Amino acid sequence: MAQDFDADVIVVGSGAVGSNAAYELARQGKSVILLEAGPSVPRWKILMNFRNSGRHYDHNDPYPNNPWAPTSYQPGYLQNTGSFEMMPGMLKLVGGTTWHWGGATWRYIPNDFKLNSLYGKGRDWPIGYDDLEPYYTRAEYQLGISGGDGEDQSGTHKGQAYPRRSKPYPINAEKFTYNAQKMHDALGTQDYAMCTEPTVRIHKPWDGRPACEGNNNCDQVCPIGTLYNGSIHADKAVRAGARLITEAVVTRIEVGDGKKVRSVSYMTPEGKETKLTAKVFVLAAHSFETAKLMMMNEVGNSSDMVGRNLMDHIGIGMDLMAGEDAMWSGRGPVQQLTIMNWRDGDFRKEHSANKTALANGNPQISLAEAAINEGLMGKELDARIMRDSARYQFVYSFLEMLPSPANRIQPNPAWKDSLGNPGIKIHFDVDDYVKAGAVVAREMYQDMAKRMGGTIAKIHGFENHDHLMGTLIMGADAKDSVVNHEGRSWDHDNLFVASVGVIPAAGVVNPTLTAVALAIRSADVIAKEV
Amino acid sequence: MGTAAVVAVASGPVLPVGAHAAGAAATDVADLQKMAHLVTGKQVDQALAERAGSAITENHPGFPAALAKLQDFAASNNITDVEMLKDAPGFEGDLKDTAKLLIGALYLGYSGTPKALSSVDDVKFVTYTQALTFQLTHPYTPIPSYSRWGTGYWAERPGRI
Amino acid sequence: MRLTRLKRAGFAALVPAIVPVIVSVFALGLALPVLAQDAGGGLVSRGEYLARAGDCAACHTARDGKPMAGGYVFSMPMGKIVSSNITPSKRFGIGNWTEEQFARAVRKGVRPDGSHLYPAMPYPSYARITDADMKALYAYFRQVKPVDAAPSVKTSLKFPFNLPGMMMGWDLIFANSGPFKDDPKLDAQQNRGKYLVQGLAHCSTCHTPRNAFMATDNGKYLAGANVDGWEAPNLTSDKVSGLGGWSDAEIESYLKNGHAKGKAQAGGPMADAITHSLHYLSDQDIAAITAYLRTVPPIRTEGQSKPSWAVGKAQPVDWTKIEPGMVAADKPGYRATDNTDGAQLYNTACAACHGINGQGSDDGHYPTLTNNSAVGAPKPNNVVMAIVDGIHRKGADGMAVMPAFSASNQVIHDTLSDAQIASVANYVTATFGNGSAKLTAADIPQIEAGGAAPWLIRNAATLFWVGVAVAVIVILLIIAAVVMSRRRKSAAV
Repeated sequence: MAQDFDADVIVVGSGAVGSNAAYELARQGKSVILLEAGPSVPRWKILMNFRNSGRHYDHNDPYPNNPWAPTSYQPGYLQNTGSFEMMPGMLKLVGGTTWHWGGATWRYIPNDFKLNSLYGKGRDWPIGYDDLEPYYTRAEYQLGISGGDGEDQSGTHKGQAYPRRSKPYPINAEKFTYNAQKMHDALGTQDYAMCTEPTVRIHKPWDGRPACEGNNNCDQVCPIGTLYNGSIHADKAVRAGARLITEAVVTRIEVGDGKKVRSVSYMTPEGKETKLTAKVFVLAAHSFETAKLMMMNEVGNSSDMVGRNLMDHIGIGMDLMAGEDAMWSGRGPVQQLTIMNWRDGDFRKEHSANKTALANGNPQISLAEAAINEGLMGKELDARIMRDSARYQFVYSFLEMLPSPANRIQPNPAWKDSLGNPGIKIHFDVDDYVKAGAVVAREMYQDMAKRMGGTIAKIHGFENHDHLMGTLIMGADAKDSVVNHEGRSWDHDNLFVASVGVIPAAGVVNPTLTAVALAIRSADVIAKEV
Repeated sequence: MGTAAVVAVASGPVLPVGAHAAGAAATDVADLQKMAHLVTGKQVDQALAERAGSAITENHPGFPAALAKLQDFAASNNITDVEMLKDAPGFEGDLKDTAKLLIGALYLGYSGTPKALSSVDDVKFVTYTQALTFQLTHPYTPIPSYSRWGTGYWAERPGRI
Repeated sequence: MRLTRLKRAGFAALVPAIVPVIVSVFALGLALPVLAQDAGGGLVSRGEYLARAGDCAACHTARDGKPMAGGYVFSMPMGKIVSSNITPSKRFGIGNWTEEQFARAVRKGVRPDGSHLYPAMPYPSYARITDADMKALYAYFRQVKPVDAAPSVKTSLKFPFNLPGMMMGWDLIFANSGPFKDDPKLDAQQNRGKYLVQGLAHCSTCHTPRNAFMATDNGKYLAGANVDGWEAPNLTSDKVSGLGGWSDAEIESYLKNGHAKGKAQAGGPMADAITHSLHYLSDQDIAAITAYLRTVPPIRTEGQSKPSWAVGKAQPVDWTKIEPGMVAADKPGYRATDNTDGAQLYNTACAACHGINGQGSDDGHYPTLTNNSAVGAPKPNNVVMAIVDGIHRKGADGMAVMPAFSASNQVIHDTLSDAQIASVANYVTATFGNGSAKLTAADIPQIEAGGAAPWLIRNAATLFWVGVAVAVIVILLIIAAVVMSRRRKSAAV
């Protein structure tokens, strides 16, 4: 039986989500092929690229921009036709886009799964929090996460640990950074619901990864492997017996008898095509590429929902010059202190929720650039750099987006990579629900600045945050969704999708942990069937 | 004279960083180093000055000539340091832009105009660790990716450890 | 994978021929009852403390396995030795053993059924355990949670090591020490230290070199040896090669925490010993070990004139060498992984923690590479092994992890090839140490393997067929050699 197939399961995409699915299946004794469009690049090489380029503001820059599998900032690769310029940073290499991320690994809260029933907005999930809870726990232990066990993460359960957890975090929460503690104290717990961001950037060693030493480089590349990324499970999958094929761009999906997917074909950078068969296929090439691949092949799209309902955490932010002169962003964690005043509540009937947080990246080169452009020199320049660096704080918010079929991506044959594969066309508009939510967030900024004795230097307009949900939307009805609650295509029994793209209600928290939990859940389903 | 030599570097082919040293005479580098000192008020290491000059010149072929003008301006007005230069009558327009180019390359570690959300722009690498901004903030924050303290240092008041 | 090799600390690595199935009991020991009681309280808790001191769990617990249920695999040139279940399971463990039978296994390496253990179980050291401590150990092991299952893997040795009785002769010759008796020349604290060092902590197992028969060469007592690729350093009181230049506080910090600033950090098998055993010891016992080590006669490593930790030059590295600039991101150079420039590789794989100039972190959190025993040592082994294996340690002051960089051990997607490991090690020793490493790619697997297996082990099968007569002669020669070396040892110690 097994001889008739190249593998029990083929997983397309070696990012955090695909690699966890591949590892779970390999660990359970299944034969697995893991296909990755990009190359495998060791961490030291990425760090070398980073430190030898002046383009640090471009977080994709240290990563190979393969002519056959470009990063998202390759000019022309993403083309926007809507009112909003959606330009998420996406990578193509073993481990995927989690090579550069803040490492936030939140759970959704129970009400996030019932947005429509509770608040009459957007969609409900086809499953509830309790269905996913055991998988959240497994995912947290796979990724190695530090978080605050006793904390309320909802903003609505003051003094309680919430949401419910069946096991404590693998690693406890660390102390706040100096500036986060100052902000925490200035805002006060009376009026502000604050908690620690759960993170894969761990302050104690875990599973061979060292403890964070505060390199403050999560958004570019972690130099020491503290910050989890998908390559860790790609490597684990290989050690568990999976076969990893790199520089393999999947372009073709072939459907056979009984509407089952029969094979996928990949192209090498030189254009050589290879066909592989399996009993089950898992598409985990992230939100855009998976949707593009399905549309290119007219697979799994009887609902016409593939590529639609694109939701990101569209956000705003503020540059705050704090009153205190020793705040110094750029020490240790890039993200940590989180404000959940607007995560959940009846207001979600009217406007979007938000998650607001202090970002702690090193702003100094940008501050210096501004001062130089202003014409400062000598002692004045140095004094300005020091003054601004000591005070500058960046506060940002994620706003909850609702799914709209009009917000969508499609293959764009007008742009081609070196193999002749299409680019991606995006149409995206920010809706009134988000705009109304932004007003609330801006009001809070004013209050925060006041309490901190600081001044707002600038409030940034809408920005995308690379949380690309909805394009492969999960639902209870085959007519208006792409996959069912298992991640299984409504159209093809042996086709699964593992991606943040399946998430039907965006909430306000970073979605990677949820996608990994769903992928592990799918893997359990698949393991019983092959 | 220093000027002419710098021009020679400028008109040469665009080389990768580091490749210029061999082609440039010592005096060119010395002049660049002097000018780097003049516009920043800091002792700038020779290699850094040279790399800054090369990177700027890749985007601005006229930079060596412009720098020579600035050098002449300083010499003819007996300007010996940055504090005199910044307030000197006539230090404006091209002269000031030239100084800003050099200051930018030295403080930021790159030269050019960053373009966000694109893999392509004209930014040229000068240095990472030697950027004068990082030298300045060194007691308070690590240069990103080069932490100098152990886990948890971030809870302490900056400057204390 | 790597854990296997790390754990074989005791005999395993060193003793390809002789690996006992009961691994760690050695340490149990002879502890001075009084001190042990202070540390533990009742008999069982004292036994637990002693079992920690002897590091029983390290070898008798499989990775992710149940405590003391065995199943830990020692991979050796002569085959696989698997540690046994020492829980009180009547069917699969030692539930039916009397205290006398237990003591005989621990001290003599002989099971109740008369079969012999392999000296992966350090019974030659555990023989030093006092009767009182043996009683406590027995009491402790009686109440460990029984596991009614045999290890899933079985010991399988190659010919002729699989012959019954193979170990008997070895035991006759090499395993013949008796319970510890106080040395009248030492004070009470030093005697306590000696008891721990020679008994439960079985320091000699790694730190005394072995002879051709894989027994410790007691003429070079604690003079340092190779363990699984790592150099177990000289612990004698010699000022250059040994611990003579270390302060008491430094030795104590090392034993409790696994590191001593400006001196050394524990890696490999020693990191395991710190993690599973030494960091649990009481301050008094740590001080006693330190006091005893001071009395160990000095042995100078041939050719060494400067302590390893005293080697080093702190000097700024030329930044242009580590920031050469890059090609564009869409060019093959951006994903090429074949760079063997030691300076550049050091900077990207090591400098985030150890500093561009090898100075470590400003607050001492990550060790300096100048004035570091591993870097300044005559042999580059520990630099290479730290890169290959990483460091994984838990001391009294917390956990320390340095990620591994070899293809088979790395977990953070950060692989260095053998050629790259050689380049980095060469750069590190040349820039921060004494330039001792002149390595090529081919040296790396050689170092990892701990050098070639002893001649006797490699040729055992052939030798066997040469005949009994020759064997008898060989054995006689061995006995003669051992007797002589023992005489030297008693003169020396």
